[in-house]
Amino acid sequence: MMRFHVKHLLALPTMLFLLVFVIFPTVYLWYLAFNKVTFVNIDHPVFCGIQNFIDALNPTIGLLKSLSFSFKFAFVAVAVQLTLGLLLALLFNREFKGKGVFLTLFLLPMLTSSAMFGVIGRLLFNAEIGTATYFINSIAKIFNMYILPLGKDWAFTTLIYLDTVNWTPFIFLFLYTDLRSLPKEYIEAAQIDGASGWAIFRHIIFPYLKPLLGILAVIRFADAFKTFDIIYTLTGGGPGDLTTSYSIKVYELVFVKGNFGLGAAASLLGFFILAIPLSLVIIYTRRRWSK
Amino acid sequence: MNKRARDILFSIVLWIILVVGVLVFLFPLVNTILLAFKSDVDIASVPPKFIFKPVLDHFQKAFVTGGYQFDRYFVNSFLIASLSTLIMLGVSIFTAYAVSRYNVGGQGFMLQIIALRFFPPILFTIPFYILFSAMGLRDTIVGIAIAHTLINLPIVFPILVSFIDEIPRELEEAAIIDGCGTLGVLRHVVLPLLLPGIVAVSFINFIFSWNEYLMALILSSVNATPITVGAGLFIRSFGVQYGELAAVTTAAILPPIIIVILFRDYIIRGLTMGTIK
Repeated sequence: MMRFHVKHLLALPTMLFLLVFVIFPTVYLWYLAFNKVTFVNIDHPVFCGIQNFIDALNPTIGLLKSLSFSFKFAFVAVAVQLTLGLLLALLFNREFKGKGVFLTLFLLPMLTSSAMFGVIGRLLFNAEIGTATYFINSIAKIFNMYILPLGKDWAFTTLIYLDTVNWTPFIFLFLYTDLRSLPKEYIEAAQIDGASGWAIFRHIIFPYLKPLLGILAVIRFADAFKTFDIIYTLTGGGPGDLTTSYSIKVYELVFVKGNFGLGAAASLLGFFILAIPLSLVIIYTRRRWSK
Repeated sequence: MNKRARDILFSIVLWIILVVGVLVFLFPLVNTILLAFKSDVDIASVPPKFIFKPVLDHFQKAFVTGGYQFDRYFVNSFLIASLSTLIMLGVSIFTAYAVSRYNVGGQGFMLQIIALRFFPPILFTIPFYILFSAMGLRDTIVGIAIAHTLINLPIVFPILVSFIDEIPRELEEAAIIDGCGTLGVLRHVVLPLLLPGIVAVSFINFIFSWNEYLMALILSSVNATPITVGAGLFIRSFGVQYGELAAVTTAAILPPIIIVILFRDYIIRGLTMGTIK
């Protein structure tokens, strides 16, 4: 009986923290979503039923467009970053001179602030003094092109590049550490049997990494879907609304236009549109792997 | 001989790929740091210069003479990240112990904390903005530190639990036989053995809090602005001053980079042990 009390006492700090800073705010968010609340009447919300949710789905608000952008961004980011991360992990899966230094160098972008990556991108890709803009255009000149990396044709590509630099190290790190725990005997045995590099990858390494690849894909997809920082500091959602993601849209509704009720409803809709397919994927893959 | 030649060729190819990879991945960072040390004339030069006489003008202007207050923003970042780390340890160590040893709340509790990771921070900014205003926590170091603790909890908590899982239970059982209570066991056995874990988790939490942007953007206005938010606002508020912007950005990205270079193995170990299981 004594033990029972102690263990619950120990669990109290996190429980209390979650109650005050997660459960209570979440309830309050739902409350806001069902009320007309703006900067003006922040103290006197007026109940309005599901009107905010109906308004949020109106195409003129732009929420739906931002959601489709976020899905597109997340798909491309995950595909590119998983591929590069896997290639890097395979490259590092052997001993060579200077490995430790290279490892540190490849990890640095992952622990650099995403928001600062947006600023770094502006310094690199602006039309006036951008070093990358200069080199890109020295090549583009051959093809009679002029490229504005942050203009409407290239902003998405530039954004994907910077996000990839920022987050591929994350994928790489996990795949690399997982590969190191793959028993070397498997690969050696296959080599003795005369298996080619590709066969070893297909039949030993890939099946071994597959569960982790799945988890990383889900985590990175969710993270990319809710991206705010790097987009806000790089393009601010522009040009126009071309790179306006779900989080940027909600930010605009709430903190630029001051419409808390509508923003709350929009944020919840976006969350469920992400969460429902994602949980289906998680449940499906768990079932398949546990068989 | 043939095999040796192949091996040498192979490592040359590997090195070429790695050097190109490093260029692609680190050039954005390097370019920023170079800009910060270039004079205005060198910044404007076409084609871009890679060899130049480094100057400290932009740092001096941004942090000392320019009246921008980036010195204060830098200190704010440091205070927020440190305080958030303390709050994180206070909030999670005991509970992580209870989860590891007594399986408090079952698997569901752990899963709920991990699931927090999937909640977009933008969801929390809306109620936080109003509630923190009402509680007097908006635009304070404490308020932003608390928000960062919430954001980092789903990453840090599972890491702490894994570190505690690795401490052999026999030691605690021996201490109990010797007459220690649960709190005595925690203080004399668990905490000393957990020290490497606490160090790893503290670095990770410090870096993530230092790098955070959205919560601080919403919750700060004048007093508690951290350097990431300050640097982001720089573009909008002061027009195009690339040198100063690069200097501020360099100062903002340098502390995490230094921590990673010095304590890489701690951080790798911490990051890879908890998050994904």
